[in-house]
Amino acid sequence: MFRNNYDNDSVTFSPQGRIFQVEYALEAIKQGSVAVGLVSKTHAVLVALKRNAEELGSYQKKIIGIDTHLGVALAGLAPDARVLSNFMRQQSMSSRLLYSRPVPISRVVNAIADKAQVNTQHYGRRPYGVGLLVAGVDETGPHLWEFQPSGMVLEYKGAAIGARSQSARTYLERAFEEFVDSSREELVLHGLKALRDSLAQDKELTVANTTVSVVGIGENFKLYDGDEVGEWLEKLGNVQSSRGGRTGEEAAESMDTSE
Amino acid sequence: MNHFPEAWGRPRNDVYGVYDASHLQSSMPNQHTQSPIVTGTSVVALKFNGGVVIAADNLASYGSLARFTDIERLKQVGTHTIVGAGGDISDMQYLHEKLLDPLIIKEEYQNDGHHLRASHIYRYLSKVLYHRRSKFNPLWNTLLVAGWDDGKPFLASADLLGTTFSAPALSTGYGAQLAVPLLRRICPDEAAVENITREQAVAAVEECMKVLFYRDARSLSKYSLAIITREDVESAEGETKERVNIEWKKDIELQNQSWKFAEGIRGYGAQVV
Amino acid sequence: MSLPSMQPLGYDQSYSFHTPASKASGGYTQHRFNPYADNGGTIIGITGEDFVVLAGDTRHTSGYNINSRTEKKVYRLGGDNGLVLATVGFGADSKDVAETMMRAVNDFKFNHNLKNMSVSAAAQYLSTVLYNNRFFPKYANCVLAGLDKDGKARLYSYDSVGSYSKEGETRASAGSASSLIVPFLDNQVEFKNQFVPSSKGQEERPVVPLDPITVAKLVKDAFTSATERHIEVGDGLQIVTVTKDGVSEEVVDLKKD
Repeated sequence: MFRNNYDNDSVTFSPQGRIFQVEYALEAIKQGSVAVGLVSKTHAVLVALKRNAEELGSYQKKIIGIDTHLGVALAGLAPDARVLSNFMRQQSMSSRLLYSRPVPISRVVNAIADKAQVNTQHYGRRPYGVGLLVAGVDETGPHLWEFQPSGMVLEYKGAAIGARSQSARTYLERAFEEFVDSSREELVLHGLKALRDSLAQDKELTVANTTVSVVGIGENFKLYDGDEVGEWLEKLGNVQSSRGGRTGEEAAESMDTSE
Repeated sequence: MNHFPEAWGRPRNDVYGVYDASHLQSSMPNQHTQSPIVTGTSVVALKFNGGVVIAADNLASYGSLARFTDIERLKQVGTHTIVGAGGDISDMQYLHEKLLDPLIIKEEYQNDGHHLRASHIYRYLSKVLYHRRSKFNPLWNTLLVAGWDDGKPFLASADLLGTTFSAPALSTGYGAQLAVPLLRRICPDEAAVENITREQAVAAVEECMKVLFYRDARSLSKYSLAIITREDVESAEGETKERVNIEWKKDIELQNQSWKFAEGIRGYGAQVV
Repeated sequence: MSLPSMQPLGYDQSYSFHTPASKASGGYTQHRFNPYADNGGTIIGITGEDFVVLAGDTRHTSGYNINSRTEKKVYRLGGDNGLVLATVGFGADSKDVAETMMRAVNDFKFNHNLKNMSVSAAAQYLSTVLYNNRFFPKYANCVLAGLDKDGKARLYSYDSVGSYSKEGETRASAGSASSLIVPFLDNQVEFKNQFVPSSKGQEERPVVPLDPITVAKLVKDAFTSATERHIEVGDGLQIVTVTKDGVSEEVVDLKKD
């Protein structure tokens, strides 16, 4: 039987030039529920879908505040995200104490990227199994970055990660030109629409499973949970995926990532 | 042959005798700086409407000897800031060459549109000074940090103990006694800053440098002056952007000196004939 | 070093920044780097039933020099809580202690699911910080204030190595003019040496919590008087009030001479 001989560690290339362990780590992101981020001229917004593993348990945490100007949404292994977010808090606090400057978003993102990259080049290490969307505001304005366990980071106008995120991305690709001049409220609604589109057919956005965070120029990072998101969901109206028939590709994607 | 690799290529003990390692260790505890050696005197600075002016003379004294007369005690750090230093000159040079220059190089190499401005550099310097004093190994300086920061002129002081404070008119060393009272006459508080023109501020600082030269035996008539202002520049995209401009006046000689008061002086003060 | 306990007493009474040259046992004068300074100033704190006021002058001195007329001594330990710390003594140590506390309060918040540190926890932590530095003390005299979980005012005052009372105080003062202000507060807050008029000095005036207006008046009176009698006090007065509705700050003028 076929067995992949090149996926035992993260320091061995396959003859095709791939590092399987890193690719598997990227798969771990797709196991997590979806998170969407988007930016306007004035704000950066994160929205995410929370899952509860079983009825008796609480909903998992999808968005973590790092500092007053910065926060992350995660998809994948939550414990790995905690380690990364604790590191980001340290970086942020150091910047404030040593330079009295809120850490620039690109700097803190590059710092975790460097950490992640090290894991792909040392024997015996495991890549982080989590993807992050980092939203924040610094002197150069609002920013949204995507972080991957490979150590890759890219800045986006709108981005989505996690299970069935392709549907959310499709929405973002259609609407992103409106983001720049959107108001705070419009931006949140755009985010929720993207999130809604990634839902499975029998699922809907509720106050229990939707989480929203907003940070803006002159506005501190704030997380909205539970009833606090009710008003936005009302404005949204339809809380089920507005997408009709799913494409074969998306249907296939949802098979192995069913909620 | 000796088969210990660490001994290879070394002078053999049986030929040259045992190596005298006594100079490698001192029998004394480590000694840190307990007093400054080559020193600079006052730095004077004043905020005005739209900027800050800062000045320091070019003398480095060795005790009472005027040792170097071409030392620059004001230095630009990054794009927005001037740091002026009084106290030990070698500590000032260490601060710039080993700490600030690499810091700025690292910052600018990031090339991400972020810059360390005056308040950031000031914070960093205060931390360094306080940490060094806490290790009983102080950097023997009093620093003034002047710059343009967050749409306002910035001026603040930090010393070898890590003591920090900010005011619209500041001076280190002898200037704290002689210059600050003169500067406070035109700039008693932060609110007065907007009524002071650049010309007034420069004239006031020049006057202070003169008074200091008259009365401070460790001062020089040759000094440097830097004026930090902001200006609006139009970028390629047609947006108006703020740019910080630093104008230098180096090697200036004190003007309009009058030593008339000296004619009446006999001896050290008590003597009258 | 110029810890208050080391100040010379008696006829050699001097200002707080005066340090006599020390004679080593060999008889020669020893010069040594002195890591401390005294930057003057005074702070006070007064509690009411459900509010607490911390105040400090804004003069920053070195010897006879006034470095700045606008350096504040009262710090908020976070943007969304009612924890307030005032520190006085050596300016650099004071700011360092305040910063350590701000950092601890921030870390606590993130490590406890965005819950704020209680005032009693902050009080104990501050004591630990100061005590851990006992062999190279932070020359910072601290007064910490906030509201407890029942909304009651809490006020704690410390020496430079962390001694404090868990029960807290009703009033506190530290800094160069504290010796002028403490007896005044004893009389006006604790009603010490006040008696019920009809009792011919037999019955002490009962202690009742003060109202905000009285406290504000006391704070201003304490500082205007201290400004008159102490050279290191003056310029401005920062008054920070903590109530259940949040923290408010006011800065009023003091004499600048």
